[in-house]
Amino acid sequence: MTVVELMGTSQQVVWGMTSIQFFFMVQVAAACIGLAAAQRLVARQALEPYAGVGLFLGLGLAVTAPLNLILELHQPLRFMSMLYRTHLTSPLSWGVFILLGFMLVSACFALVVLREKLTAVGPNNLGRRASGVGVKVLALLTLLAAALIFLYSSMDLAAVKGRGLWHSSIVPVVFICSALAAATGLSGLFAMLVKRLNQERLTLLRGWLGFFLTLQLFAQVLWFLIAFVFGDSFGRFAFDYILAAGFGNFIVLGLGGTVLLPLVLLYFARSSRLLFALAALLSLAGAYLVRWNVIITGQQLPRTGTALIPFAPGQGGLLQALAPLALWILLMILATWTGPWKRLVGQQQEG
Amino acid sequence: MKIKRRDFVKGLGAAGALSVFAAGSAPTLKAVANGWWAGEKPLDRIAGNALPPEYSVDPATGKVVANPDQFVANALCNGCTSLCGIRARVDRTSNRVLRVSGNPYHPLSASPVLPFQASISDSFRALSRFEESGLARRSVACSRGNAALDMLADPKRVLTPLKRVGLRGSGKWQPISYQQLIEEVVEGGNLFGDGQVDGLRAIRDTKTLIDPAAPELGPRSNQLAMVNGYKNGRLSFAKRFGVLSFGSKNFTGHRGNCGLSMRGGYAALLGDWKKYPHLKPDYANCEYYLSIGTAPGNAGNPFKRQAMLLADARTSGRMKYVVVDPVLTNSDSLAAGERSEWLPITPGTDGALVMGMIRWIIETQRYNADFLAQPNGKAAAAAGEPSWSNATHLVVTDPDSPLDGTFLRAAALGLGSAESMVVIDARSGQPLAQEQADGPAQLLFSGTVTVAGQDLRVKTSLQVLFDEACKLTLAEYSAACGVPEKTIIRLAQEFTSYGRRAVADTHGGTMHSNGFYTAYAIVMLNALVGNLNWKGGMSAGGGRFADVKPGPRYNMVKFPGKVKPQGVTLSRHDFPYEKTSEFKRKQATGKPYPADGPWFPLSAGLQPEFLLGGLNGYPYPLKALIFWNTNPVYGQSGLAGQLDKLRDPKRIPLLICIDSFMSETAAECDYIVPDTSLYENFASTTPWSGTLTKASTISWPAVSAPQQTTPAGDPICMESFLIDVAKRMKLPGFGDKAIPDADGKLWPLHRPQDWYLRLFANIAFDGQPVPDASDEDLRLTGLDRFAPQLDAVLKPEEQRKVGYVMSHGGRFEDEANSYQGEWLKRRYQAPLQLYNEPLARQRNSMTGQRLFGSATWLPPLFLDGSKLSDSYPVRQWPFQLISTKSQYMNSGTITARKLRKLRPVNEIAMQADDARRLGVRNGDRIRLTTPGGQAEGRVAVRHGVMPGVIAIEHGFGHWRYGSSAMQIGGKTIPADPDLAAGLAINPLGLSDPSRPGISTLADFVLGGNARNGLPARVEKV
Repeated sequence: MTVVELMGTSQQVVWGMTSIQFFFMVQVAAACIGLAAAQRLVARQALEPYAGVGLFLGLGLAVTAPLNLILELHQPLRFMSMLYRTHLTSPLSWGVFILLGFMLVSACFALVVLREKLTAVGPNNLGRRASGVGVKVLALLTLLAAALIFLYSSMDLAAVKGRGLWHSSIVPVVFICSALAAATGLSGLFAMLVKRLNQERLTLLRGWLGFFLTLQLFAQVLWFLIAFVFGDSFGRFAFDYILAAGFGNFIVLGLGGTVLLPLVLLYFARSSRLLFALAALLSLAGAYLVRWNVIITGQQLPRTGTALIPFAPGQGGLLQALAPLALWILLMILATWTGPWKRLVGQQQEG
Repeated sequence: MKIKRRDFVKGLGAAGALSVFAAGSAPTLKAVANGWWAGEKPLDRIAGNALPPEYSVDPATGKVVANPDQFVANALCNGCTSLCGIRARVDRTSNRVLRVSGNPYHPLSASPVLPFQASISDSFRALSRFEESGLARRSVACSRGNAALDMLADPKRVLTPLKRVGLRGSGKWQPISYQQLIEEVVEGGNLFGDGQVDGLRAIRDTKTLIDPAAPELGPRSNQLAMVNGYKNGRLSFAKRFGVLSFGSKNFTGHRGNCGLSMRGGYAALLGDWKKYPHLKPDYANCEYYLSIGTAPGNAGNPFKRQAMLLADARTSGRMKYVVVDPVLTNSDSLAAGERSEWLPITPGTDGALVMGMIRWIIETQRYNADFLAQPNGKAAAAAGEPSWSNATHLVVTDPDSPLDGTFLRAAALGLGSAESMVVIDARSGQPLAQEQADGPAQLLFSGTVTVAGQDLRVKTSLQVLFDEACKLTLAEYSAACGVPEKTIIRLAQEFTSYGRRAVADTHGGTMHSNGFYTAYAIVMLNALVGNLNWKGGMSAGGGRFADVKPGPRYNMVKFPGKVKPQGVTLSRHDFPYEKTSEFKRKQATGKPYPADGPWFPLSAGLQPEFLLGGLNGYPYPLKALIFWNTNPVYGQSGLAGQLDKLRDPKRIPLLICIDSFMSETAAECDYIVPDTSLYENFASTTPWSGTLTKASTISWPAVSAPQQTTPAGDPICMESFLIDVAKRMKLPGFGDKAIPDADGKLWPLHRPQDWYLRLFANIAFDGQPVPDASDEDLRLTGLDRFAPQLDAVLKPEEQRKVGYVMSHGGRFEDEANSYQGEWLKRRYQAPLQLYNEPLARQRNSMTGQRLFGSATWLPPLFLDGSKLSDSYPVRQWPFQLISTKSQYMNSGTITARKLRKLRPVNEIAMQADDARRLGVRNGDRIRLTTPGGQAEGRVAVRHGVMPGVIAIEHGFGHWRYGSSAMQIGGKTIPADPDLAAGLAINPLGLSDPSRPGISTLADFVLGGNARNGLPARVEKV
């Protein structure tokens, strides 16, 4: 294999807001749908909160996440052209098929589940019945597609040697853990908003969120240790940055504010919806922040020099990045006005 | 209808989300709408309004279908001195170059190259995705090469001849007709209302001496000087006018302001002070690359080829390279891991580092004795060596002897001829004529021999070098250069651990006042490992096909009436002071030294001293100066502060500049003659030793130049201007009977193509003639438009072959001819000079001291031998300024808008600890003060800078080119502040108080402009 290096290119932040937005949305989507598929596959009561709400949220995110890429390319047909202009040696080319495959499989899975909910028994039985082999195979495929999403979207960064904050095998693990935590937090918040967060679900989601945040904590600490302490000179330079100028973003907020603090809140949130909501919100912010820290700061760290390469998204960039998120919110609102929605996510809680 | 509060809130949320989505997606939605509904359908559904491709290839059959609206000209890029072959896509209708990429036949742009035999349609196919071949033969242009296109259509281009109004440098001009330009330049007169100015006709007198009391100065025709730029493929035409036809000795390129130290170091090592050959690494196969004072792919030459091969070599894991430089550049790559290393060093002290390495290498016998011990070519061949050296030759080292510093000749001992040196035979231990030796000789020897009854102390060349290196300890060398002693040893150990595949190279970073000896020491490392002519070692390059030199079809340098210029150059190079009338006059007084100005008898291309000679009127006054393709007012360190002298017409009465833009130099002249820019002219050149096989790059006008034309219909440019001047003066070598063919028949030279097309014919017919171009070759490359010119100028049998060379952008030898086993196929033949006798015979004209004949370490000096650091002590001048090579800009590309977008302002880099000490933060404004001037700029604080160094990226801080307002024909053209962005280092340059008259700091051996290591103070503004 021949590796071509580009020498002397100008240093600037190329992957901006839409990139973070894409990574965030698609990975949280994969986490939501993956957890829903896992629930269907293993039929565990503990995973029940993901089966309806998670699937619903994940499907919406999966459909809207690629819009980030389209907006960045400024022309939908450019994205579409990658379907017939394939480059087998390019991870980005593979990514298009993985992304579309994930959307297709997720949609089929959701359709099957939805049809089952619409035609079958009472909504409270959601997910508790053992389903047919066909559905299990579909759930397995969905789980596989979600895993491929993580693989493609994380390795996109981890494979880049020249960036100390990207080039680590732990980065995909950090992304997976934070996405699972965010998916849990999002499911809980959404369930709360639509009044489907009963105590049983709260208990389950609280447990899962605590578990995923703990994993995230270990993954991030492991990342710092392996990538920086035992890494090469550039890794050590990145670690120096994290301990100095990046201390606030990486340690105070990245570990303390969005991982440890929600864990503490969860500990006291046994029956407090407010504390759980705060923890869930922080976990979502944490998932976003960890992507910002890796993707943006990873590009800002200079290869020569001491000053960070400047990055300012600007109003246009910010709006462009918010557009897919806004579309997802719009879809969610519209969906909650439809009849089948209620049957999919279950009856409104009482009180 | 009653709306629930919950639905109302959801409705508001939905409306808000829709608004954000619409606002964020608007640009994309607009792009889509424009294409589909708004009647502005883009050219392509996916590619939008991107350029239509120049051709397409049927993926099944490979059939090439050309775009009839475009053609592809394989041409030459003049964006920098690398002179890469490029491939310009030209729109036939608009006469515009649309885009530039690399010429796939050209070794500076592609690796591997496409075989020269491949047709143009073959090249199209090879670059396409047909059979997945496009990447393998990918040929690229760099960012500068592509962005430099902007300069073609720049509104600030000079399109008509301009004559100054009022004082020189006032920025006021009037357009004049071409006829008026020619008449005034040739005939002179009271041109500016302030007295008579001699025209070129009056100046050209090849018989009458300038000064009968100093006949060595030569005739009055020497009072015209032509100061030119680098060898861009057109220099030989200018030389034909200035030297061979006008008869002036004063013709120079830009070397003295560029890389003269490096070239001088190689000239000393290679023993050729006339041609100044130099070496380049065999980048593709070397395994250890020590780059000192240059940064491969970031500086030096050829940039692009170095970058491509370096990236490939270090990625594949074969090569380690070390860049010794006060500044960390983009040459170092984290991705290359341990295979790339940056070694910071104090400016101007590279010689100390290398002499320390040399000492350790010789002390520990890590040198290549098999190579060095061979005293002649015969012994070397027997030992399986492709080259040899004078390491074993005996040098007289007896200060009491008149022979001191010279090689001991065999005739003196009765051992052989007067030309043969003497060695100590390795087997017998006895002196032996070097030419008679058939095996190795002793490498290290110090002793006495008896000549004419007297004992003479002698040493071998290697011993001389070793003893010189031993004058300081490694600790002292370390203290001088700031590189730890153990690093010096480790570097020397590494360098001698790769056999013949270790190379050491240098370039413009050695442009200090001690630059020559620094460069000689650096390149000496190659001799110690014996890498010359070896695969993976150093190469003198593959050479070029015959073009200007007498070729198989035409003799471009011989013509009836050709003049052999006589006398001394204004720069006092290639003539020893000791032969001048001034020396004899002063010798008679008993005080021959110092001279009234410095003399540099071993130098070449000494641009800075031409200007200083003209301004000082030493050794004789100058009457007219023509600048072409050069900008010394900006590029010569220390000159800009003395512009009042250049503006004084009494010093040089007539200044003419041929340039496409109002450069800093053009703005100080009396006349500006428009010139063609890249892709608008003819040219013939070759890579600078950077390729192992023969290569000739040519260019021809792929697009028409926008400026006014001559009565013959050619754009006004250097060639057309000089032709018309020559014809008006009836100079030999121009007009009807100018160029002899192989049969002696004379052919005309009325227009540029008369010269260049015949020169191309020489290339086409050199050795085995090239094939004929097909109609398709000519059509695809736009040469079909050239058919009438080919027909009018060339003989029928030449036309298609010249068409073949033009369509391919030159002629390139098969790369398979690079090697012969482990040797390079094209080898440098002369022996390497560990001791250079001509150097040792010269004296410093300001002190009378003899120069040392081998490599040595000396700190930066003034010409009288005093140290710079004594005049500018560190406690008062704690910083040193150095210039760094920009990957984007050079001295003349600031007008390229795309380049400015890539790099709007230059970097002024300061080391982080220095910044902390001064309380300076990244982005702060600082004031730099040197003994030569003062300037302000924004600082970039970095770790990758040697402490005590401020590194300034070259190519910015212009004060002309449109960055200041000017008046042309009464119309004011306002200043464009973007063109003035950043800070220029050269106006901060130094003069040399130890020499009389107007000066800039110079290397004391060769006179090269010392533009690095300027003592400075820094304050936060």
